[in-house]
Formats: sequence, structure tokens, C-alpha cells
Amino acid sequence: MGDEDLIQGCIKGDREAQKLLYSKYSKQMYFVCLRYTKEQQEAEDVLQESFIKVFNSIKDFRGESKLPYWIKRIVVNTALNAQRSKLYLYPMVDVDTLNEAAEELPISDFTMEELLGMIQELPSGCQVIFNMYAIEGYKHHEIAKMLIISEGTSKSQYARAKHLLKEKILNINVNYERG
Amino acid sequence: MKEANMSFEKQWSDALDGAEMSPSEHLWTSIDGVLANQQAVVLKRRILIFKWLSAAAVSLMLLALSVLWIQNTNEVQLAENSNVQKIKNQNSKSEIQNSKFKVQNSTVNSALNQNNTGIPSADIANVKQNNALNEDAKSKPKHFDSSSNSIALASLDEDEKDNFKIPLNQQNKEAVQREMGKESKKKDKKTLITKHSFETLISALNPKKLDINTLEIPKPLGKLYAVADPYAIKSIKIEKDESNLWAGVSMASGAFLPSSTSNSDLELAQSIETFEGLQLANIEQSFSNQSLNTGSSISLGIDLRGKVSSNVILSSGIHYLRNNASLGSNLAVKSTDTGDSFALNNADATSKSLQNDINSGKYELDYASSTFNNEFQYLSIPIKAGYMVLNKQFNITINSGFSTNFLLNVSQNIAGGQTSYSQNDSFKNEFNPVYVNFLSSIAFGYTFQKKYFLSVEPTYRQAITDFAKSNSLSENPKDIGVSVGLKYNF
Repeated sequence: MGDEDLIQGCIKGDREAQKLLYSKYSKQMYFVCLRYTKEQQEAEDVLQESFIKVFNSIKDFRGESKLPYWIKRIVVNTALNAQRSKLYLYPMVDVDTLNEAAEELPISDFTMEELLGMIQELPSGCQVIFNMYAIEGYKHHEIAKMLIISEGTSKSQYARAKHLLKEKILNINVNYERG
Repeated sequence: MKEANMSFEKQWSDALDGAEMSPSEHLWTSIDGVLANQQAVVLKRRILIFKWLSAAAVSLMLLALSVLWIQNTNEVQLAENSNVQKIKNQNSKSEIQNSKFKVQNSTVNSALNQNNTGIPSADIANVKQNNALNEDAKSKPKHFDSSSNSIALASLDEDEKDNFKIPLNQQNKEAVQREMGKESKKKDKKTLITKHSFETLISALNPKKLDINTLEIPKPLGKLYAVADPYAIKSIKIEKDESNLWAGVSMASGAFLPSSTSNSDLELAQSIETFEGLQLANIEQSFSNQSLNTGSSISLGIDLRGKVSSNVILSSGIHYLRNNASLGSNLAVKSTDTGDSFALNNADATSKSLQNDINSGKYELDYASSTFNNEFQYLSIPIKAGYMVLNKQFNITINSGFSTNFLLNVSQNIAGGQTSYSQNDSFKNEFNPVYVNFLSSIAFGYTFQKKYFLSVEPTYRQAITDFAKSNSLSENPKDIGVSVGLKYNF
């Protein structure tokens, strides 16, 4: 069944079509949720809320973007809403920007689960900003407006995230080499 | 190394591109449960609406039946009162007649006594006849019409009283009998109380004893003292000089209640879809605060009204309907060149040109409160069925029905002369081209100069189909107003 058929089925409230749509995109979206959260249960809560929003508003999907991209945006936004309270609870402050020289990072040597683990271990603010900037492709001024922080904070938090990740990658790599 | 030539972000993006992981199997069960619960809530709300509609319909029906029953009771009471009054009148006349009859008989008797000596046997027989008449009159109902009574009644005229004061010899007796015969014939023509009136009187006193099939409506007599028959009255159709079709114009004004609470899911979806890569949270937050406020509603149109039975009315028409509702917005875009601010409405959330303008740096998002004045123009066709609970010169009709509204145009302007980003036609596309209202009204009408009908009609309308295409309005709108109309009877 193609996306168009699934959309029409979902608009009619056909539970079978909804289940098929969920089956088709849930794995991909679940990984997105995991990137923005710290643990599995939290990610599943975000995924559930996201798919309910998808089914409730799919009649307004106009096809201006591809369906998976549209769903992903809902997932990202739901994840941001879930994280926002944490971000406000622990306000992000500017940190010194580290001008690090480009280094060879053997990212491709790591499994997806290992990379995900590294992201989840980042502090909440760094984790969100890293995901938004490095993976989703937002600009710092966009992140600043979305999270109601200054552009400088976004940049410094990203720099911190980058530094922490590099450290982790290099440490793990050294341990591997030693081991 | 390969990674050395790639940026840090690109390496991560590529590494995680298309990454998948299976969620717990029970997750779909949870989602399914939430969706089922949502459906149940919607269903429950619909059932509640139908319950209210049913309750309203039953209440209206009971009210109509009560008024009808009271009306009928009053009519019967009125007819009975009229009967009783006429019976009283008749009885009093009969009393007078009988008393006169007694006087007459006593006069005759005294005359007979005066002529006791040498009375012929024929005179004695005459006296006995008179006594018998007297007894007869006592034993029969006072209003009973018999020839003997008629004879007696005929002799009540003052100028004839003297005839009975003279002694009754054979000659006089014959003269009296002749006079009585003449008067009897006269009285036959001028019968005050007919057989029918006797039956109708019985019917008034005890309707169960009356066989309606044997009733005959009497032909008009010189003097009609017949008692009004409530059963006969009901069957008499009063011809009125009016046809069943009325046509005219009406205008109405009232309050338009969009009942909107913005649905953040919709706005979220719209903003996400359109503003990919933009300030999602801000747009979501801003649009989720938008809502249509209570406005005004006016209509003007042509009405048709037809009687399908004595108390049941069907009416329809064509109306031009204009609803106003303002929309508060706290989002705008600012030109990066001139610094001018342009207000955004929720329709702009789907605007491609806005997205391009922002992406190209021509505009940037800004915060500015503004109020959009929205005007919705419709062609409305109401169809109503009504029951006249009071059908006199002043009348009251309870109406219920539906009106179908065809969208003609939607326009927007901003209060305070602020400029909007786009006076776009896309805003019209946010609303359904047709929506249906349930309507209920009470029409107070006054008929004057036989042909004209003036009405004042408080009306309540509730949309029963979706007003907006999206679910940005959590409830369908309603409006309450008063219509004033003038119709002509063709």
C-alpha cells in the first residue's frame, strides 16, 4: 500500500491503515525520539504522542513535503516540547567556545547504538542543540528563537556538545586500541 | 582518512541517516487505545448533541400539545357557556310563558266558575280540556313544544287576554277555538323551540345520550332560539378571505458565536509542514493562541410561507447572510529592508511565498499583536416547519428546521490600519463552501388589513456540519438573533 492510500485510509479513520502507517515509519521515528531523550520509556512516550498528533492532523497534510519528512517534523517538535521543561529547569549558560582544530574522527567505526549512547549521555541542553544543529540542520539563530535562548548560548552549547563527543570518541578509540 | 575531509556535522548526519530501532510492541496497543478513546469522546459529544436536540423537540411537542389542548378546552368551555346562557334564556322565557299559561287557565277557570249555572256539557268538556292542558304543561319540560302549548302560548297576547275573561258559552268557546287555531298556525311558523334544539339541549346537558348521526342542523327560522351545538360548531368551517401562500421580505441581526478554541494540533501540523527548518516553536506557540472572537450576524432576504393545514406552516426563503468575527494574532513578519511589520494569520502558515521570503532573508519573523476582522458572506436557504400555537389575528408559531449556507466570500482586514502580509484568497479556502445549521425559532405574527403579516422572530442557529475545513474551530459556530419580516397574502 502506497503512502497516498495510507493517508486516505487514515483520513477515513481506518484503523488498519493507521496501523500500517505506524508500522512503516515507527522504527525510523523511534530513533529520532531516542536521539532527543535519555531513555527508552521517555522516547516511547514521545513517539506515542507524535503518532496520535499525526493521525489527528493527517487530513491537513497537503503533500507539500514528503510524508516521512512531515511525520519527522511532528516527532521533532513533540520531542522539543517534552524537553523544553527540562531545558528551562536547567537554564543553559554560555560556555567558552573552544576553537578546536579539525581532527580525524573515526565515527564510521562505531555502531549506531554506540553513537546513540554518546548523544544520550550529553547534558540535556547540549543534546537538543547538537541534534538540531548537526543532524536536523537548523541554524543557530533559528535554534535560539525556538528555544528562546540567545544565539550565543546555542553556539556555545553546541561547541560544548562537540567537544564532549570528540572526547568520548577519542577515549573509546584509545581504549579499543589498547584493548 | 575519509572523515578528515568531511565536517563534524556531516559525519554524524551520514552516520545516523536512516537509522532505525524498533519500539516496544505494546506501543501500538497504547496508541490504538488513545485513538479509540478519542473516537468515543467524539461519539459521546455527538450523542449529547442529539440528546439535547431530542429533548428540545420533545419539549416543543409537549408545549405545542399543551397549548392546543388548552385552546380546545377553552373553545368547548366557551360553546358550553354559550349553550347554558341560551338555555337559561329559553328557560326564563318558558317560565314566563308557563306562568302566563297558568294565568290564562285560571282566568278561563274563573270564567267557567262564574258561569256555573246552566253550563252546557260542551263547556264542561272545554274546562276539562283546559285543565288537562294545564296539567300537561306542568308535566312536560318547560321548553317542550307541543301543539297544545303552542295554542296556549298563542293566547298570551295582551289584546287577546280579554277574550278569555268573558264567560265561555258555546259561541264564545267556538270563537276561542277559532282564535286558538289561527294562533296555532302562526306559532307553527314562528316555532321558537324546535325538535333539534331539544336534542341539542340534551346534548349540552348530557352529550352521551345524544346520537350525533340523527342530528340535523336546523334551517334558519324567523327567530332562531336554537341552542348552539358544540359538535356542530366544530364542523362548521369558517370561510376566510385568504389563500395559503404568503411572501415577503425579512431582515435579521444578532450575535455570531464561532465558539472557537484553537486546536494546537492543527496549527502545529500546519506550521511544521510549512516552516520546515524555521522557528517551529514560536510559530506553533503563536498560532495556537489565535482564535475567532464573538462577532455580529446580519441577514436580509425573501421569505415564503405556506399553510399545509390549519395550524401547520412550512416556510422557506433565500437570504444574504453576513457574519463578522475578529481574530487575534501575535505573529508578524518584518521586512529586512524597510523594517515594516506585516501581520500574519493562520492561513499564512501554509503560504509558500512566505516560506520562500523568510528563507531568502527578505522577511524575518517578528512579534506584533494585531486583530484581523473577518467577514463571512453566505447565501442561506432556510427550510422550517412550524406549528401555530395561537392562530388568531395575533399568532404565535413555533418553528424548527435547517438552513443551508453557501459561502460567497470571506474577506479580512486588520484593525488599526496595519498591513497584513498577504490579503490572500487562501483564507477563503480554510472554510467549507457549504455548511448546514439547525435552527429553532418562535415567530410572533400580527395580521393586519387581512393581507399583511408582520412578524418578529427570535431565532437560534447551531451549525451541525463543519464550518471550517480544518479542525481549527473546536466547536461549530452558532448564532442568536431576531428577525423582523413583512409578508403579503397572495
